[in-house]
Amino acid sequence: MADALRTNRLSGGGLAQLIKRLASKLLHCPMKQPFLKAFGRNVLQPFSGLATRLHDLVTAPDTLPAAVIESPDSAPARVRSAFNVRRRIPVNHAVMQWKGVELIIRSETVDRENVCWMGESLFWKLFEESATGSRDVVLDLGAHIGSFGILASYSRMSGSSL
Amino acid sequence: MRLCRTNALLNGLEGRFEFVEAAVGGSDCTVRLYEALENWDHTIYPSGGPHNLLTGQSIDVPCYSLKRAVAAGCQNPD
Repeated sequence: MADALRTNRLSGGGLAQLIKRLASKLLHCPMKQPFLKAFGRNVLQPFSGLATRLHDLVTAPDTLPAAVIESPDSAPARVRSAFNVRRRIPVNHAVMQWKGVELIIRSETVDRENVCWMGESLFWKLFEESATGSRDVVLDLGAHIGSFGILASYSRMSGSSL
Repeated sequence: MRLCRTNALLNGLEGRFEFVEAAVGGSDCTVRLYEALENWDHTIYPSGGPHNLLTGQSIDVPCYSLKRAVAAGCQNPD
């Protein structure tokens, strides 16, 4: 039990964290009553250091350490930010002509390089040497933007000059 | 996938393609795919990593074994 508390599963970050959270919960109730709040202020006046620590404890946001959460999807938004979750950046597009086909590519990405690389790659050389005909089926797994599949299809069309 | 479809259409080759939104893996199942900022970074690991910056979106994707994918391709020549 003590190990579980120390290693966090039950307490949400260790024994000290559990005590801190319990104290915080207990102090929240009196803070909502003006009478009790004023009484506490008067009693704690001579102990300014303790008063400051208690005030910080009550007013601090209730947070869990990010390491406790195993899946970002199940985590609250404030914890999800610890998992490198970002917004998708808008992408600009361009059209490139390549070996007789036109391809829409995403500017400022590796699309252009990838398309150019594909045309010189071993995959393409093997495909060119193969007896693949226009009626054969080619599986293009992880097809990217069609950089292989579209060129392959175009090259096997009747009348193609590629 | 959208860009791949668009490029097929742009070149008048849409009739020669069949697009299947699925993963290929060791067995027939469903996997959850976590979207990354770049399409080559999408991952099945929910926490991503230093080179897999995630958008927070995810989808369930059917996963076919390679055997089934090849068999399905052979059954649909046209």
